[in-house]
Amino acid sequence: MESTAREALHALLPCSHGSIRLSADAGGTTLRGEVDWPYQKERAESALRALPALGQVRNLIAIRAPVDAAAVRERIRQDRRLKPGSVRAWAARRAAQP
Amino acid sequence: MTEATRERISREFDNLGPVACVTDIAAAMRRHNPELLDMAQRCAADLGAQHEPMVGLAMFYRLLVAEAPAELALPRVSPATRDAIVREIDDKGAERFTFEALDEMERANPELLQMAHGFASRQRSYLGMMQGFALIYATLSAQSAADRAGMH
Repeated sequence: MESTAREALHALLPCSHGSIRLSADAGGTTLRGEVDWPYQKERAESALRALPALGQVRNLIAIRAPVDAAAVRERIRQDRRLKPGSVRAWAARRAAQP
Repeated sequence: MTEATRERISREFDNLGPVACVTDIAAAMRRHNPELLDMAQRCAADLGAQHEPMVGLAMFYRLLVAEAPAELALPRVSPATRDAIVREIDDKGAERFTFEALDEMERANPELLQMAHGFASRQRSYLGMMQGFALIYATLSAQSAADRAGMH
């Protein structure tokens, strides 16, 4: 049933479904995660409500709060400890290019 | 760029599907901005899951085009500008280069920063994705500056 729910989510949100998590229990299905826009939260709920077999749908999806560059920098620094990036290599042209 | 434009483009990707959107945008980049497309594709390939990062980079480019009076109004990145960006990264280091680009993005186009952060947050490599967005932004900014200087 969970795969059916995921397919329904993917069908209505083919680009942004990746930020939504699903969990099921005896009481029904719960949606969690963070999205950018209210329409994404509403579509996710609609997708599941169209599947009565899932039971009650609880929509706990949050709308992502705005960030500033300082918060982004901090997150990048945390990631960089795990693996440095390759920005220079992407910028460089291939040696064979004229 | 307005919040409404950002939501409109997000809906476009969810309505048409990411594959159709990326195909269209990559074709437009191939015509108007081949150097930038090559940078985006190399970034996406390096991040390990080529399709997903390319969706983000294509959406980023689409947002910039959406605000431009015409697609041709976006600067066309030249090989010389690309080489200049490499020298800038060598001079500053990747981290400073990335942070400066993100600071400028926040100052000049804060909605782009929100889009970039939101997209990168659901990728395996937040760092890599943000570096990709910063690189595209910084390269277009550098080309824009070079074009303006050339007019005078």
